[in-house]
Amino acid sequence: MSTRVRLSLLVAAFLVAALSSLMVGAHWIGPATALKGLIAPAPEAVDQLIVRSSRLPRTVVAMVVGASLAVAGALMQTLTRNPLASPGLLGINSGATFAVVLLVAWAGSASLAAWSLGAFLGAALAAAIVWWVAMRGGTSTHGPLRLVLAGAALSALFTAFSQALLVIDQQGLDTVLFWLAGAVDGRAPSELAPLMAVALAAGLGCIPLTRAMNVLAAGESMARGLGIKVHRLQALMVGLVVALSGASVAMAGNITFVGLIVPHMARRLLPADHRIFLPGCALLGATLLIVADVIGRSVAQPREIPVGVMTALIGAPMFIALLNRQRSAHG
Amino acid sequence: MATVAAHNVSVGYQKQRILDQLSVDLPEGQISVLVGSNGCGKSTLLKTLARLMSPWSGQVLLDGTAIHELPTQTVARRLALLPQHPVAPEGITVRQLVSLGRHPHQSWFEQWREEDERCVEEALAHTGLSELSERGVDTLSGGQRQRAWIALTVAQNTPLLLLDEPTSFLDLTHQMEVLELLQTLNRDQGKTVVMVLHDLNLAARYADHIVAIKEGRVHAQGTPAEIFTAERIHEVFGLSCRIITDPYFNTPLCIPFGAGFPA
Repeated sequence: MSTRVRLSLLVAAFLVAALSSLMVGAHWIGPATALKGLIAPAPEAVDQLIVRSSRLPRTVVAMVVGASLAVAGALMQTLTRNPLASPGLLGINSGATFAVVLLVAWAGSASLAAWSLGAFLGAALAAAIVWWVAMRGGTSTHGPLRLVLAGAALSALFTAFSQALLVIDQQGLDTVLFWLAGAVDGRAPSELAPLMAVALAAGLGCIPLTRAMNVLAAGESMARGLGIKVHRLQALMVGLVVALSGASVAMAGNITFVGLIVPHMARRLLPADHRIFLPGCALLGATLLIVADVIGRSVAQPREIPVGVMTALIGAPMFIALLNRQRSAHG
Repeated sequence: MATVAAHNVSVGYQKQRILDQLSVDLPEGQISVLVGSNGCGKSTLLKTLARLMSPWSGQVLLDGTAIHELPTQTVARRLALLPQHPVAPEGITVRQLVSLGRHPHQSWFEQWREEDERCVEEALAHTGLSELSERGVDTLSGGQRQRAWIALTVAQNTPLLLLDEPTSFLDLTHQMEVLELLQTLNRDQGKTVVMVLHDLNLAARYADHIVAIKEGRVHAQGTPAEIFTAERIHEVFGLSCRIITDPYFNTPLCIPFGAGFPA
């Protein structure tokens, strides 16, 4: 199968997932009505109102968050040359969680906008500390390895702070628990607009760097030999990861699995060229998160299973199936 | 043609000094091999020549200009480096890997030109990889993989080629294959080749110029016949040996002695 066909299939899968996300829920809405609600809404039609006011926003959030996390994960894996790297390794998730826990402990139940802002700042601050610690004793060698180690250590530290605070403040625990599991619903698009803009800008910001990323993937020494300013590129990539995953965690809470597995899936489906690989990750990530959300809201009605839980439930078996297929293909 | 030289270079890691006021001029259009015992600084010298490490003092000169003052893209058009044990990105094909060598020749507005395509095809042909170009690098044998990396540096189309132990972890057949390839590149394209090798007998066979390094300084340099004497080998490596003349190739051949095989 050619790359073009594979990309087209990914686009088709994404469109099917997005449309089904408009149709599925507590109340089934047919595809024609869903599309009409999207394109040319009639003001009094209740079904169309549901599509526009509830299902469209959560679909868009799932799309942006899924794509952002997948691209951020791909950047981390290229940056560290470590297939197990994910944005969480920069302390993004633990930093955001700690910020939210702190906010709840101090201010009680703050507004959603305050939570989001806090989460984003917490994520950015944690990543900045990780970067500073990793790059402090000189940048000459093992930068990415130090980054991974510093990230793991500081993530543990932030998580410990959060847990300590939550043990003291039991009420805060209830408030924070659902957010911790990750969710894409119940957010007004207007509140999320700045975060979406950040994610989108960072996504577009990857485009001019893709060729240099291809070279960096061949190793730091090789990249420097080929005229890449490696440290500048690494710093830019970390900045993009912070923007993408920081905005995601602020929009939808902790959804950790997408950034780890989507790049692996994309690598098995698409050529190892970031100009194709990164858009492929974005498409796959968006599709996976939308599908996870659709299933999460339909299997246990009237309750909903958090999307962060569903991504792991769906993603892990898919990932294992892909690994097995890969093994048999290579004998 | 291009030259690379080190003038009074001192460099090291953290506080540990590895090279101590080292000066060396590497002859243009020849194959130079850096030899020395483990930890003597030969790899560090190669990395410093390729400006992967910045000297604490002294200068590396590329065509007579201080290398750290040249734009990194300019350097990458004159000097190619193959580091020790490069690892290919997962799933990359031979052609994609070799194409990376064109990076220093590309610019923002002109991305992939006919010249880039031609250089990649030529690099594949020179290294005997045309047939394998669509294969994944991770499906190749060790020798083929090393040829693919060398093909990348060939596509980079630089007059200077620096290689850090290009034959390590390869069996003898593949070591020969890689060295033959480098010799062809030197003879046919006039590339100046500088590399670190551990096998003295292969170094003697393929090198025009040997630089023996000991404790961060150039201990001796010259043709293989000048450098590979029993006394010199003992001074540089602390190894007792006898040097005979290879009956087929007339290059020096080192017969090592050890405690169990006294001279």
